Amino acid sequence: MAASTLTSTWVHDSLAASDLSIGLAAFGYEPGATIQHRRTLLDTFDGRLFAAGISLEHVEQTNPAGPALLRLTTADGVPAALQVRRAPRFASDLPPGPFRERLTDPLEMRATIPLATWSDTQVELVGRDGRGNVIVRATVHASDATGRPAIVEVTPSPGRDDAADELVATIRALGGHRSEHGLIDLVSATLGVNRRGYDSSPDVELAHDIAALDGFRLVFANLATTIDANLAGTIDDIDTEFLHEFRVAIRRTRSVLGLGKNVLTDSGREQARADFAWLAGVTGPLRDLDVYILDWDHSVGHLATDRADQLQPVLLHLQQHRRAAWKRLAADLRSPRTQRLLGDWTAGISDLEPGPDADRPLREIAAKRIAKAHTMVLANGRAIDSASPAEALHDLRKDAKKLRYAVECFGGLLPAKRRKAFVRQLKDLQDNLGRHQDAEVHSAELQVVARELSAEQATPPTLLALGQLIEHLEIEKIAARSEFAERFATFDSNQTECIVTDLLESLEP
Amino acid sequence: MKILATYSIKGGVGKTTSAVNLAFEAAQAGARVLVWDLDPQGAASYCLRAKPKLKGGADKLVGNKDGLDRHIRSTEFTSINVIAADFSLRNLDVLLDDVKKPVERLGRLLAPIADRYDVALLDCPPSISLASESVFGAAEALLVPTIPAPLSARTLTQLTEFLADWDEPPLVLPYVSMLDRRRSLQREIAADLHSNWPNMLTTDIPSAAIIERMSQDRAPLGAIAPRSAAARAYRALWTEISQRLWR
Repeated sequence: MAASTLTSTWVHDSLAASDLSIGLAAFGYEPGATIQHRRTLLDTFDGRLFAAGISLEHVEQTNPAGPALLRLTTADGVPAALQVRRAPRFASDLPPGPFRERLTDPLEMRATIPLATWSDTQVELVGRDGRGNVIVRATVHASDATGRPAIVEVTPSPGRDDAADELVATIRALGGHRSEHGLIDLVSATLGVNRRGYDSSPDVELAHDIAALDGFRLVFANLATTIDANLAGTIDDIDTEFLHEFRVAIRRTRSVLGLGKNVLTDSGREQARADFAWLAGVTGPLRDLDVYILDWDHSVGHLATDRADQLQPVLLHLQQHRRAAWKRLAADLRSPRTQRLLGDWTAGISDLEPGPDADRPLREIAAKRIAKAHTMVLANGRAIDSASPAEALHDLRKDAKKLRYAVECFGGLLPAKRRKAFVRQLKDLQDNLGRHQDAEVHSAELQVVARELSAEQATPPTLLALGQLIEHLEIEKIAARSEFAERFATFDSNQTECIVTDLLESLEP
Repeated sequence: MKILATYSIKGGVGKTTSAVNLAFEAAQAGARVLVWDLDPQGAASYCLRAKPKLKGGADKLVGNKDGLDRHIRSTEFTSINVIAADFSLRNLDVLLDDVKKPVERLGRLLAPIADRYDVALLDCPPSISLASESVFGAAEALLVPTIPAPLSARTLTQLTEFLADWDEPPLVLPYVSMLDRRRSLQREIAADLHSNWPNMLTTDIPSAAIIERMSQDRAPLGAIAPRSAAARAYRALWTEISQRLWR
């Protein structure tokens, strides 16, 4: 039988924590000191740690004063704790080691943010065997944030489930009962914390027979919520994903506006499209820099270590550019123009004026638009050959995005399995087009940087390494270009055609 | 989970002291640690206050009848568990000789619990034997305490020559152990070890009276004398190992 390390949680509704500790001590469990903590639950805005089954807390020992710990727990594992001066924002803020490694993949580029902070007074009691070895631990908590007078966490020692059973029997005898939820879940429930985080996906529930205008309004409202949810994080530059999600929601909004011909009036559509085009435009420079800086390690990965080190002034220069771009964007987003644009748009969604097709079923409109967008991608993709200019691939990338957004934003009408299958096919093509576009944008950016670097920063080794990097990006671009035909052929296949036919059939009455 | 082993062909060089202290420092640095005491003397088990008893003895352990889980015990430290040693481990070589693919055996035993720990630290008996080969087969890195004595470099050479024929040998990370800085010969030998062995970790572990207290208090230095020079050295050593092995 596997040794259990599962911590179980027990709740007392009437006994105070201090009395419970005294009670357990009377049964021979050895109490430690009473310690007060200020505990802060950390996760990303979109709840990545929760999704990975991880609870991460910054635990400050307030009385008696003691070191702060970062504590990482999972439902089925040995707990881990790391002494820290302050809560980390990014995994890279932590020293190299297994603790950081466990957070690196789930967090990726996202920052942790405090979800809830509460005070907790705890006493740890241990049960020992005749040789003095610890065979079970009970941690008694008192905190207003749990909504209960006392909570006990019981952690059995491996191979000593018998000792845990005995402790549990004592807790029951003292009036405790088992909670299905752990301490952090109880705190989250009391404090109203949504551990799943914000979901920026465009999924909206759409009834099969919903009228077109009503459906468009629901989709716009969902996107407006996502724009609003990511605005403050973008302005405060909490992490790069806020801007990314903000931009994606804007692009989706523009795309859906484009699909709304005859469902909405032209005048309403065109004004909103122009407004959101401006907003998308002001967010572009920062995102381009973000993409490059996030991908920096990969970009310089092909260079020898000393050559990559020579590029540090370039990275610093890009980071300075980024800082300037962020300041400009923050000012734009705080401006009356943005505030008015977003405020008026959100408030006006329910009053969007109906066009001639407003009352037709949304599924008819969606089917028509998806079919048209698909045809457009096929036609423009088929027209691309080795002599086509780079702009043709860039335009195809935009066409592919429009198609994807149409499928995703009206996804509520489509069977999830088929929709996801189609998006997978399309994503492969988009990845190829994105790789081409990124290499082009980054190459242009680096050529600007090369001109801008001061004589002091631009030593010959740095310029040489920069030249190699630009050359590598050109190779990337050529590689993406040469892969295009194969990727497009995969998309332009009977298999994709069948998936699209399936999708469109699902929109029939 | 990374499998590390404190290993040396020589005895009395500080393997067990290293295993216990590095386990403590790894846990302090946020790792979930399993110490597997493979030395029948059971000194690491003793220092971590674990009962020196393997259920069913080494026979059952190696036979993998019920997996490693049933042998895992807790310690005073919530992030450190231990598989204790007992005297039956003196037959480990013979028992491994009776199983298929003995070199892979320890790694296979650890595989099912790999997602529950970040570090498995194997404390090995001195020798170079089939049990050692099984350790080499399982471990990602061998942490080799090396005393600043004239024959130490020779022992390191023997080990690296032995591993030279392996397809995927563990990384050998030697470090100077039990260094008495008052003795000029030891300082000279330590300097030679650093200059001749590029993989030698830069942190030296000093010879210190406080280390003797570990077996008396049955606790790592970090718990009984966290500010001592020796405890600080083990902390620095673990930081260096982390930087080498983790991103």
